[in-house]
Amino acid sequence: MKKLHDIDLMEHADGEADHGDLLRDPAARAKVEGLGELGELLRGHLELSADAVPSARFEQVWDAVDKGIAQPEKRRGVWHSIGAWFERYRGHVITGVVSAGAVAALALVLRGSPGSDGPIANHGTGSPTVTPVAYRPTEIESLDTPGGDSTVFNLDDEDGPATVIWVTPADTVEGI
Amino acid sequence: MSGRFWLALAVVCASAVPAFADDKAECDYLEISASTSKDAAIDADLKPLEKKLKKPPFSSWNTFHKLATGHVALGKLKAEAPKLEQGHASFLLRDRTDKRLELTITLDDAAGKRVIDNKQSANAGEWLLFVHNVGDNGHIVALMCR
Repeated sequence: MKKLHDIDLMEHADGEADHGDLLRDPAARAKVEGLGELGELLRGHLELSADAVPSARFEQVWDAVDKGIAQPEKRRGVWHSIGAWFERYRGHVITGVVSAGAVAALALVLRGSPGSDGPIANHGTGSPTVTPVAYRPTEIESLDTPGGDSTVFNLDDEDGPATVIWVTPADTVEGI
Repeated sequence: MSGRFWLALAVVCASAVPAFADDKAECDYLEISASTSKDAAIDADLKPLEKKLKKPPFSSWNTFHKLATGHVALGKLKAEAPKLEQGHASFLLRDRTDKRLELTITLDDAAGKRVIDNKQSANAGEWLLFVHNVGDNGHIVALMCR
């Protein structure tokens, strides 16, 4: 009769091999039954552990949600409120800041150089020049200089701008 | 009604009242003679315009003397005549906002001949210079209204 080894018993217990005809020995049968019970216990324990882990985690999540819902709004400080407002409207604030920066940059680019001292009108001889948008110059609505030629120009310095109307008699040989 | 409503109403009413409902302007004027001489000189009274008088085309002269100075209060559509040493002038305030003044200015030379008849919309606080070449010299009337 073939001698049974433990590995044969384990294969028999797991169903991997059939050695039933060799299990007449009571000690071998007891070993096989013991192995079967041990396997059942191990499987049971592992299944319980596997079931316990996700349910515990879900319990924690729901506990946190319940706390968040049930917790009353506490009286917070002004700075906390401001911070919360910025946090809530962060997208709006960033959009506003970026837009304002773009507009400011555009205004700086389009403004040109301030303080041009060139003539803004040359009566009868020249055409008006472009003046900066930021400074609104004096508007000449009408100018009559009987018997003379007139020139209108801006003069700017640290004391501020000035508008000059310069009249030269028509019979003057040299202009200004 | 809530305090917020009354606050808003007060702001609206305050902004609706014109800043210059009385339509007046306070003006300073200077009458200046300009010439060229050996020794350059600018009167101390002309300090507010000194930098401008040193710039072209004023720098073609080097001597500036104050002939007259004064202050006039302009009421709306009431012409005022400043006291000048040479010739005659009139200042008229036609309308104004807080930053702009609509003025009519006339200048006559010493012979009574009209030199300048000007209507303009000027910035408050900005100097207006009226220059008349008289031979090699210049006659300047400077006006600044607020």
